[in-house]
Amino acid sequence: MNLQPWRNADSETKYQALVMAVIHVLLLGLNLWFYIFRAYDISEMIDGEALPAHARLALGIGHALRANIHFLPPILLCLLWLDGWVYLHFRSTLGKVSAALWNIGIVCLLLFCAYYFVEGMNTQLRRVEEVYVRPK
Amino acid sequence: MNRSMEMSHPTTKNERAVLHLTHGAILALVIGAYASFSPRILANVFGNIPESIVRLSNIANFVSNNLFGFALIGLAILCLDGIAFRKLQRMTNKNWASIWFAATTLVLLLPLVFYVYVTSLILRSDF
Repeated sequence: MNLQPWRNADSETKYQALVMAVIHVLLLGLNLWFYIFRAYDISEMIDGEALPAHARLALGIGHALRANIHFLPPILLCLLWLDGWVYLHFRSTLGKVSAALWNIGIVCLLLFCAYYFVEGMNTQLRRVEEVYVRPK
Repeated sequence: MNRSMEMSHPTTKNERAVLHLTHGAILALVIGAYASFSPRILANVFGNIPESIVRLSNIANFVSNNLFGFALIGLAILCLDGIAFRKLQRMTNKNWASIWFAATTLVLLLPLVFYVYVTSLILRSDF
């Protein structure tokens, strides 16, 4: 097994791995901004209106990230390094299609995390609409 | 390498598939988020609310009322995006095509950033 796949990579492979890393960092940063800085829980403001499990999970993830914010930079750097390593390893051993599939998989995962947050916040907004905008 | 050979080159095809899947997923997320934005009548009910909330509410109303049109516009954007990417791959070196990929991804993510910013602004406001 080639433990340093970037050593034998040509310049085009390295450039595409760089672009892939930029997109992954962008999406990861967006998710962190969502979960850490933009999450807001209004369940206490709406009496007797418990939030669904998925909305509570999205808020819980944000709370857990905020509580462990000092551990995040090294963990995320390790994950990004691993992501790039797997991409280059797949590209050098399995081929370009496998590397592209890995890239698509990670992008879809990060976009799903963004969707989960948006849905969690939107669920709270629906409660706002029910309670404040359209009072029964 | 002539044009037909280059167009059917597996590497080029794979890269375009990655581009279409990534941008298609982001566009679907953005259109879905705007179409499902809930308190659309918020702007009409509350008085002193920030301009950004009114704007998002109006956009969300427009998107949900013209969802089919936006789906068609999204498909057209994806096609144009793919054509521009292919042209850049063919006419310049591949680095410019990669820069196009990263830049358009960034631009497509901006509406989502605005959506989350305004959504959290509403949730943080004192009702």
